[in-house]
Amino acid sequence: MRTTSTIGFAVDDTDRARLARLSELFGGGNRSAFLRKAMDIMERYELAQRLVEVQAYGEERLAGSGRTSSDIPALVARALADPDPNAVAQAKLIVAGLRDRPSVPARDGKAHPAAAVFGELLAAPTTD
Amino acid sequence: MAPVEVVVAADVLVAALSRVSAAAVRFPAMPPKTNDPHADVVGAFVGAEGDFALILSEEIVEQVGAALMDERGLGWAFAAADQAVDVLVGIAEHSQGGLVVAAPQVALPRGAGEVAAAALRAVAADDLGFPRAVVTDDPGLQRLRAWQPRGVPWPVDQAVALLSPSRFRDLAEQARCRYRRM
Repeated sequence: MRTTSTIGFAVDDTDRARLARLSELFGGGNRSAFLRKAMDIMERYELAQRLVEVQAYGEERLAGSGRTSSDIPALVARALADPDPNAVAQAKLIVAGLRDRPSVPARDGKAHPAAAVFGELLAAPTTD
Repeated sequence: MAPVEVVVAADVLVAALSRVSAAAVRFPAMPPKTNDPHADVVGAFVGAEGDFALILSEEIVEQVGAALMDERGLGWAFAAADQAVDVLVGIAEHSQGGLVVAAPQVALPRGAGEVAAAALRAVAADDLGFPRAVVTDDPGLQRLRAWQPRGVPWPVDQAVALLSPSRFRDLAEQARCRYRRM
């Protein structure tokens, strides 16, 4: 169950109209609802930035190993078929650190419009 | 609302982590198609609005970690691999997905390798809705195109779509274009 508390923060006079407009647009006039949406967007923005950082590291590691992305399926298969014990132990540590993460939210039964469209597209004939 | 449930196999995730993704850089714009479908797959979930949920399992995450940190292969440092997994799980959670408890008892297609098996066990999980898909680089699974799990409760009118990264990326892009016009 969600619990709430009221916190105060200052808004510059010139920003009040912007806040009201954005709250109306994205929160149905409810500033708390707007703030939740804004936090969600900012968290995703942060994740996108962090994704690029890890990808840049990954790109460097791949190039440094003298391999290309087409070698990756074979690399993964070998890492699992003939495991590096240290890598496996460390991977298990990472997994253990995820135990407190929330589970997948319950589905409410009503499908997102994307689901129906996705199904239609899957059923359409393809050339690949 | 129930999203399309999408399990991404470990080798696709490792490939996605090995190249900078234009799709992620341009968040929150609609992800552009690039010449790297693996990175585009993960990019598709960064801006997901409850339409496509990225589904992972502990087994898939462990495979990703073990492959990234294998000293004979990519040789990632622990901190970087830990960070990568945290980002992937964060993206999954923000797409209405996340970690599922896989179905260990599900019967697998003959010849399925470890990567494919982990993805199929995850997509057969109890707590997901429909439709479901697996994004895989496994040519055997891609040839199958669809799979109906056996050995777990499963509705007869549903099958799991088995898609290559480029096929999933294209379908997700087309689906978004179409339903946003509805």
